[in-house]
Amino acid sequence: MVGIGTEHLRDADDAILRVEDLVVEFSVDGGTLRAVAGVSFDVQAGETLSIVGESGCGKSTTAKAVIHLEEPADGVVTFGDAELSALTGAELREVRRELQMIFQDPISSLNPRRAVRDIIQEPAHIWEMEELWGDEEIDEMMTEVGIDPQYGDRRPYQFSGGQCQRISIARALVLNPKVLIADEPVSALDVSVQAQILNLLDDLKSDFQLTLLFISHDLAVVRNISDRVVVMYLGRVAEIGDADSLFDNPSHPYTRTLLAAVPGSGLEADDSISGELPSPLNPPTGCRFHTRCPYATEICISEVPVFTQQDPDHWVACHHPQ
Amino acid sequence: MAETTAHDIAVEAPAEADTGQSVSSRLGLGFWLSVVWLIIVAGLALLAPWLPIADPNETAVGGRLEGPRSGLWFGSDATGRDVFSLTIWGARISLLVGFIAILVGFLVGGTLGILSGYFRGRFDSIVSFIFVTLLSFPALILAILITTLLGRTVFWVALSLGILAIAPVGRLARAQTLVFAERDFVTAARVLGASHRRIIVHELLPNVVIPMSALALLGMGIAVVAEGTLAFLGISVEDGLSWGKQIFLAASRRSELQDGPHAAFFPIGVVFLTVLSLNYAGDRLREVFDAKELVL
Repeated sequence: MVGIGTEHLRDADDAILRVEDLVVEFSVDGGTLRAVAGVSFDVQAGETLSIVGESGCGKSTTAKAVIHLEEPADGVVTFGDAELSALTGAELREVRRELQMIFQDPISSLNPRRAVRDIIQEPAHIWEMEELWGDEEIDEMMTEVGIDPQYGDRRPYQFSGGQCQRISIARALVLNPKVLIADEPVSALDVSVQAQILNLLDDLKSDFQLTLLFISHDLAVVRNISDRVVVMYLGRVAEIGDADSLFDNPSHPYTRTLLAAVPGSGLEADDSISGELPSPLNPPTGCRFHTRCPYATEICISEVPVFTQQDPDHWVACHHPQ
Repeated sequence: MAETTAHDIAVEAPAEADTGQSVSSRLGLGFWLSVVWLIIVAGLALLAPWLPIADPNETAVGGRLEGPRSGLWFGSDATGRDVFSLTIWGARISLLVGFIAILVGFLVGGTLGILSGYFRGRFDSIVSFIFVTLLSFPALILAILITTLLGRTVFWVALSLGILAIAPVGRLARAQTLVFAERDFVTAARVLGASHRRIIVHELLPNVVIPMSALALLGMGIAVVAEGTLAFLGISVEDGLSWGKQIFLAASRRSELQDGPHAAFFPIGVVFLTVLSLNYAGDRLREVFDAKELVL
């Protein structure tokens, strides 16, 4: 086992998406970069699970590995009854219909040479469901995500970032997915627009019975929409739990640091850390956070912390939980 | 529905009301003048057999090196052939050679470039090696080889120029593909379940081909001039007079050039204007489409 325990996973029968000991590696000049080093979590139908952490902590790579856009080096991803890495290309393609994704850069997500109506209709063309998704249905979908259908013939560059993200969402919803993976969907947007997109996702979640896997570096964004939260640090899970419990009682020093950076969190400034994220090419021994942790001791350098339970649904991987 | 959109009041109308018009006006007057000239030249070339002009091979239509006059607009050459008619019939050969050459370059180079930029890996290494090899092969030797071995027909001359176009076209297509293959819309298409074929045709091709259409025009200009060079070396199309061959014949004897410079200068002028138009139109297209990329 590469990771730090799977005790925090709930009963497998309840989970729509279950990730066990996921490892993703990239070969780089200096050797092998292990971007994700044994990550486990599960998502139940209708839940919103957020993965938070700094840039480079492996949260986006985790999201991509979940739908096998990056081939995991190790680990098991189970979606419903299907174990994704055991599937052939054609089977994976079929399963991915129910496992859609939206991306960070809304403008890059849309083909600049195609009209937005055509872009939204593309999944219907791919799966030969044109009779289900005629012009009328596409118009309805555009209205649903807040784009006036009369602008359907415009090109993506004529829309703002927020509007482009709405178009991306509409395109993903045409396949009527069960799980929507949102990889930093609002990071590139103005703060005022962020709230609109988050509200939209929340509304669509109930309208389309979606399960949401939400990736973000911003705890303030995550706080209002999450049922559960995973905090990642340098390719590992630092803390995972019910959103209320985690935000009210952050136990990992790293989580406390992230929260202290959010205005109005009430956490002291001395919880803040200094320094940069160490290189994942050569991660620190023991607890990967020990190089920046104010509470680090000998054991943190020598031993990898495993999960300990804080609350019924709140687990932390730390030798000195706060 | 009203509920879901209630919080969307801030949705503003997308920018730029009428793109069609703004693109055509951004191309400018020079672009449209070039296009008109190209249409005239290509139209006359296509219609040459039905035009009320002299047979280009018929001698003594005019006198020896007779100057331009009504009915003999470009004058006549040393054997009394109608220079106007020669120029139109020459366009048929020169433009056809240029067109086929670019077609070959784009079909072969463009396809290889897009595939290698999209699939990367070993295939990319092999294709890139082929491009480098083609680029380092002496152009003239290749042209001489092909035309001598296979014959000096329009097709083989065009093909020898087309082979030279494969590497530059292919490398540009590959570079363009690399830029767009990394964009999220290609990843999104994969997640949606699009096949490689569909991604290449629907997502990449429009982004690669439209900017490259500018190169097609520039390349055709280059091919027309290159054919002229081959004609000077006596290795271009054997039957009929291309522009290059016509100019070569009219300008090769100094005394004839002095007695009747019009026999060389009229076709030279037409070649000049045509290549200028091709280059200018291509350049404008490139600028306008590059500017559009900047908006992104």
